[in-house]
Amino acid sequence: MTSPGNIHPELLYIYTAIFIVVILVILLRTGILLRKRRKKYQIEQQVQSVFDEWLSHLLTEDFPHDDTFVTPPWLAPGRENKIARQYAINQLISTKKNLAGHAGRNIIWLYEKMGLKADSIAKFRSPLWYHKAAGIYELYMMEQRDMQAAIARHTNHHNAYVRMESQTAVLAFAGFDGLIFLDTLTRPMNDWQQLKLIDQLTPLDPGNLEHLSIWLNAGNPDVVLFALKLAGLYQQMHVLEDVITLLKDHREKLREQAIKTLVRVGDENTPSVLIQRYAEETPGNRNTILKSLASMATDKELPFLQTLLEDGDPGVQLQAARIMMKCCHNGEALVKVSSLEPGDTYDQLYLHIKSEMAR
Amino acid sequence: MKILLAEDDNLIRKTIEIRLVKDGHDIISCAEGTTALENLRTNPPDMVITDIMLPSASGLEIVSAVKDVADKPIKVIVLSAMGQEDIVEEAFKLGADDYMTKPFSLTELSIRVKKLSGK
Repeated sequence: MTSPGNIHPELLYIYTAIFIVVILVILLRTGILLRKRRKKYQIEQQVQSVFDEWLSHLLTEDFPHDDTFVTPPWLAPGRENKIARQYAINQLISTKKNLAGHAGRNIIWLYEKMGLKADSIAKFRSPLWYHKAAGIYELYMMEQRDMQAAIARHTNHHNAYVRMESQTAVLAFAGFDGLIFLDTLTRPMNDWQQLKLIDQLTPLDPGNLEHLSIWLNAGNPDVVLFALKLAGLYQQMHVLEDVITLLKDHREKLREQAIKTLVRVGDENTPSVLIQRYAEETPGNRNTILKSLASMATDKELPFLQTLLEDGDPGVQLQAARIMMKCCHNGEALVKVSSLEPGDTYDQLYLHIKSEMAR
Repeated sequence: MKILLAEDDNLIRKTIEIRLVKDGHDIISCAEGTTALENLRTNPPDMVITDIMLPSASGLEIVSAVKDVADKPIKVIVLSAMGQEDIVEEAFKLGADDYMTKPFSLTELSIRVKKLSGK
């Protein structure tokens, strides 16, 4: 082992020199970065004071949408105005989120007239994912429908952010028809994105979602999961058989969603279909089945529910008793009879559910 | 009519202000909730237009404060974002007279102001 005393002094000088150079490089880069940021902030502050005043007047005026409009020199295309133009795009998008009607139409017209669309397209065509995603966002926020086909080609992009922005964009352009991207989606679509897309579609008319069956049979589990959510939300009864088939899927998460969807698209046979699956299911999915039965069980399910009263899990017993008392005609009497038998378990269950029902 | 406008987005505040001034109103505009509350007490307006989400004091606090300062009836219009229905409901319980969901039309806001002012 080399002791500190054995290190050659020249080597120490070299290490020290390298260390000092590295520190200097880091300090220099930090300094440059801070200077750039300060410069950007200062330019933004200067632009803000002029731009906000200028735009707010324009938005409240009936200015002619023709060639008489002249882009202010501080916003003219060119590298020297890059920061100002990006500030303008951000402000136009932010304002469009707040103002509709005439002002909203003016915003889009200004975006196009000042050539800001070209800036967004340049970002969209950038090889850097963060520029590409930002470009897509700007283009769909500014309703540039002529870019729909080009953006749609990125709905299965290898970068998750580009993919998500593209999917959001095609839905913004085409509503439910934009979901066609699910036909070819092979990459993941996370829960957050699924929620976001569903939220985006909420105010629109779904029609009959013709491709739903294709998506429910897709190889991508995220597409199947999303399709199950859509089927449930929009009560697409025509895919009932597909949903029932998914109850036997090897992936637990898909089976769980299929159970939830079945409650929304099912028929009078659904409770017995769920009961048949109960014994095969994981504890989590069994709980989901019981929660589902709570809204659809009838007297036909009484024998099954009575067997659950004997279950070793008090949670299952409680859930079964609750369903019996709420959904079955003589369910309350049956739970009460059980409560009179030796032991105080059922008595506690009965009283607990009674107090729940009284609330 | 004297209108207190509380909106934290500089550009939106300015745009609404210009539109309402064109309609012949006097505007006191504030970017923060506490400034709006202060103005409400020191210089009571005839109408308040407030965003729900404001820095330092929320739009609900402003709606609530209107009752305390009013020795005259002050009309209140609440500006909310999509999905803030619960807060809007709360605002109505506190005494708001009308609401608009963003994105909204300036013309519609102008009409509602006229309608509430009884002109």
